[in-house]
Amino acid sequence: MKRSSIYTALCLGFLVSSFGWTPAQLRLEWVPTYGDAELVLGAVYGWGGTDSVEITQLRMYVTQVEGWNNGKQVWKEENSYHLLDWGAGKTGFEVEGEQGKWNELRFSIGVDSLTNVSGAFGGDLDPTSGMYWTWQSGYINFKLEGRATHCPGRKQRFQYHLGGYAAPNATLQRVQVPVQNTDRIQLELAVDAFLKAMDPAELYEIMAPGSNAQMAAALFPDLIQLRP
Amino acid sequence: MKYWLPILVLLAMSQMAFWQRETPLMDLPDHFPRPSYTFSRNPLDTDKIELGRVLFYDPILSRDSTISCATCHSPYNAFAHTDHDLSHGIEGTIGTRNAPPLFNLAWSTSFMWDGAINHLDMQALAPISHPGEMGEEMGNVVEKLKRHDRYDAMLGAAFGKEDWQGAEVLLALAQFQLTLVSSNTRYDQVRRGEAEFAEQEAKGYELFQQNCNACHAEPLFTNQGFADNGLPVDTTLNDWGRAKISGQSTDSLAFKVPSLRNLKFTPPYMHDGRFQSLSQVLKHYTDGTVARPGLAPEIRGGIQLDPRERTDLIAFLLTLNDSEFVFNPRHQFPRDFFLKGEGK
Repeated sequence: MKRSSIYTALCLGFLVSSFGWTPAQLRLEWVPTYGDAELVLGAVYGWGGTDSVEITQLRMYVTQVEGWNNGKQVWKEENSYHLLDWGAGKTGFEVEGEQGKWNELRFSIGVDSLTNVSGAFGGDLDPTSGMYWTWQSGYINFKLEGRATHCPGRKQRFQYHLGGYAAPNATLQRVQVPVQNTDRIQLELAVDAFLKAMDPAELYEIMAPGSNAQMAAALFPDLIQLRP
Repeated sequence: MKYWLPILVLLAMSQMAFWQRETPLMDLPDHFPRPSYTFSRNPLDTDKIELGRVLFYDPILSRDSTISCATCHSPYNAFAHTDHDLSHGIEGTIGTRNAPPLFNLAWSTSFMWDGAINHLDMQALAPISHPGEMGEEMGNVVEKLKRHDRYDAMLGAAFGKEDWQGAEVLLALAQFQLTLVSSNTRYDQVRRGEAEFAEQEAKGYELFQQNCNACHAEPLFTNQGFADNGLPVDTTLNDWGRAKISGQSTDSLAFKVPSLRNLKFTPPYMHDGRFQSLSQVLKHYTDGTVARPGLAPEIRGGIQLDPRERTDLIAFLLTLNDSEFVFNPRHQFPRDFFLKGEGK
């Protein structure tokens, strides 16, 4: 009698847990790198033998996240807007993707134009989170700030605020990365390569939409890869 | 069929009740076009409008709590700022542009003299954060309002969430500004068949339609566009207008076409407040425009008006004043909030 009660309880527990089943959680993470190592905000890195570089702030919007399999979209995240902020320890997020169903991750860096012209939103899109221009409407899609000893800017600072949603200055950048089946996908973002392409000695400030912002945003697809 | 009739009647009554409850929050005149604002994303609500009104009049939005929205947008000036040609900000700072009046914003497709802001919800960010206006970071505004018991409670109740953020502050400010509708001028009364123009006004109306309506299109008296109206450059300001935002040289010296409603309440005129009177404005359009490549084609060569026609045109322009709007108690300083129950 006692044993049958235990079996009954176990079966009921199984049924309850079955009805309460939720899709597998998949964590997506972006890992900024400098050289072969993970970037550390505030750390000083060598530059060209005698100079050095320090990154003080790195934030970016990851949006429109999709899972693809052999060239076919098999999953799409609803309301897909995520503000990553390495200074605040927000390096990724969970999605309800089905493991093993995709071999390619597609996403955008930046906020789409429709959202840019549709008024105030909350959550990660809250315009008071420091990623929205106040003097001219529009989200800042990507923000990288720091200091370089060879930078001619005030206090040797460089500031790259990349944004712009309307033609001819749109900077939303689509990225496609082949991925493997796992419960965690880590993508590397080569910050050192970005900085070398910009070169703080020459271009140390982008604070508005325009050709420089477009040039910089176009670098992203080549700077992001699956972390080995 | 007879069973359906009561259901249909009930349905119709419920719709009427909804309509009667919702529409008084904001006037949507029949002779106006469809609003540009998307109300479905920020449906009007009594509590949110009142919250927006209180915020609009509260200097807490500025860094040193001295300047409110109403400082430069006074209700008695149709929410513009008379006497000052340029706006004034915290710590005695003076801006570079004339504070524009605020009304019929639900029909506006861009904001500021150069159209830098694309949505009413986001407009308040610009003056709040501008160092020559309110000089405050929006993040600090949120912190101050969260520390303020009454604001924290009002925002939480109005939006149904305790963790309200900056977006809710902006949405409330937008709600109040959406209710600022000017639609009961003598012109509007004529449009509705409630009045007739006097002879001089009617002549002025004809002149207006021939010479002004292309840009200052009725019934809003703006086409929501941008134009170079031929003003000589003020070299103390060197303001190039829309070109700074669009990056297009063809937008050089183009500014937003303002509405001509409520001119009686809103001098001085133009983006830099250079003209004190309507006579000066008309003199500019007849004799003062600077011929240059970007000059609006509608005014090339100047508008031809003899002295009598100028008087007639001004007579018509005075029919665009809306005293009911300017003195509407629903738009005024919220004394109950500030004087009866002081917040901390």
